[in-house]
Amino acid sequence: MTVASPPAAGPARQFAVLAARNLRQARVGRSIGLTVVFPLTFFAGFMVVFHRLMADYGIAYEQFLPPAIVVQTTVLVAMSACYMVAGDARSGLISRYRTLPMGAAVVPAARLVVDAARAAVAVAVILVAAVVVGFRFTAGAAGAVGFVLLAIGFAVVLAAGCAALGLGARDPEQAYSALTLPYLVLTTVSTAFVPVDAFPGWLQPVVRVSPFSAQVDALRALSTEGADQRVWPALVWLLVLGLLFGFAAARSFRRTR
Amino acid sequence: MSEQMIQVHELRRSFGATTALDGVGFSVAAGEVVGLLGPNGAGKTTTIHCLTTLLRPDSGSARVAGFDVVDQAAQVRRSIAVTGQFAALDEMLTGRENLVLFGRLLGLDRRAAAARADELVERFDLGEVAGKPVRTYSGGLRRRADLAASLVVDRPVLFLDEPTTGLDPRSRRALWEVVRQLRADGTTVLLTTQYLEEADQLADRVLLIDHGRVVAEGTPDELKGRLGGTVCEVRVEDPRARETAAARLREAFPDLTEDDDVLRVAAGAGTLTEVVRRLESAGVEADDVTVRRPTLDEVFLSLTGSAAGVPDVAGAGR
Ligand SMILES: Nc1ncnc2c1ncn2[C@@H]1O[C@H](COP(=O)(O)OP(=O)(O)OP(=O)(O)O)[C@@H](O)[C@H]1O
Ligand SMILES: [Mg+2]
Repeated sequence: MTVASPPAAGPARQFAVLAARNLRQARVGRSIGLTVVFPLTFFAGFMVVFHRLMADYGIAYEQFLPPAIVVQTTVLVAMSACYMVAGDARSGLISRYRTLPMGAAVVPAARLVVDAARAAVAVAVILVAAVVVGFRFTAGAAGAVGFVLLAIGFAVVLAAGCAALGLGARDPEQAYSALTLPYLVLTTVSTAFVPVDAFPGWLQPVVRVSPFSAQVDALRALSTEGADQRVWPALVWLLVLGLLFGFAAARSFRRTR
Repeated sequence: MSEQMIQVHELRRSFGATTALDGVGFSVAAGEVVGLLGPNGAGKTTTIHCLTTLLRPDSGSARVAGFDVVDQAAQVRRSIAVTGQFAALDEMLTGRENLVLFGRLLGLDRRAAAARADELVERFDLGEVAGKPVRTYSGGLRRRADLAASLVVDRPVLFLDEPTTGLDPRSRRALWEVVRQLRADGTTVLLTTQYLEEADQLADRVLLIDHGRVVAEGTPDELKGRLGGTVCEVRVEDPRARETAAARLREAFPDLTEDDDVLRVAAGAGTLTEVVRRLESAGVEADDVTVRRPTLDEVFLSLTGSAAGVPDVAGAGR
């Protein structure tokens, strides 16, 4: 017997409802610390410790450091998406969504739009602090806009990957800490905090191909000379990872084990 | 168009080396309430997961509301309401906010979702806690809120996986009432339960499931009938007196069985009188003499073979 049932909400409505819910989740708890306190602390710490030293090498650290802090923070925002998604998976909420008539992309999309907003807040906070200590967008408004969009795009793409991971995870803490090591290695072995020549010769190729280096270098370009050839690697990485992680996120929601 | 709301055919599903479903098959007619009964690990939850599109079967097929659970999963999801074995709520939101959230996701506008939430808060007796975050709820409260969340919109088929586990007797009875109402409204219900009384109370038909297959099915009364109907039990604590009684009773009832201090014979018309007379003439004073129908519990144990000391026939060779 086939039974006609009332139509469910359209995907746009479902997306809006879930996004509002995720936004609320983002306003509580560790999220605030993550998006505001953490990056500021890092920024202040690095400035105090390395500013003079880098000046001796001819590097204006107040101009060099903010893109690195932005990358670091957007990665943390993405990682916390994993934590939140895994929490929803553990509470059974994701399973309930799976039994509802919902488009495969609704749950990941509602997740990512909020991650984009969180990334935007974090980037804004860092930029304000950076400008206070002397950071400037010397390539004008276009560069600044590109800087912010690229930073948010990077956060969203990584968040898609992290969300895919979180959907399959049982334990939020475990999932989050599984990401900590790659995060530490990738941020350290990149041009985020020191230029590539500061690394031993055998490590330099690794530093050069790292997506984190690509991202930091592109942000530095956008904040100084403007869009030049340093932006391309970041865009390529964004596209490749975006396709890969976007697909993974949509699939992991509708994956029937 | 058949009148079967759920049709399950030879469903198989393994997790690594564990065979969770080993060819389970059954069907549920429109408007029927069917109880899926089985010991831990029998495959109840796996069956529900396959039917609710959460899990893909390895082989076999199943249709819910006429739609194939694999090929027409989207249509199936539009036809079902599900309460899983473990509560599935947003811990951060209040009970009422959860109900509104699911109402909105399922297509109710803001006002309708709010009205529906209030109605469910009332019906599930959540009034006092409806404004508190779910993370502060006790297990029973959470269970009730979870069930309410599944009933936000009316669906023709409802799946309940152990809906009353962890509920106190009053809440359990209230939930039974809800299921009866749904049944009266024509909803088809497939529920799993650990409580045989619950199956007895609610289900039109019971499916006994063990090792991933249906080992018996019928109305609760039919299943009880399988154990040979009514029995007469004589309890004699003193071993020597019991021996005397057993010998004397066996002359008239060759089918007599002993179980600890209880002697048991199949009961028909006049059995009780005959038993009492024989006990008297043997000079045995019984501690207790009763005539009763077997409980669903006994049916369950005898058919699933999970009673202590009973050879596990269904699981032999596994
Ligand atoms: N995700 C899984 N991974 C591995 N094994 C599983 C998984 N889910 C179920 N099983 C196994 O499949 C079998 C059936 O499990 P299922 O949960 O369906 O039983 P059940 O009848 O619901 O039991 P219970 O009364 O304990 O809820 C069990 O042996 C179980 O260990
Ligand atoms: Mg179960």
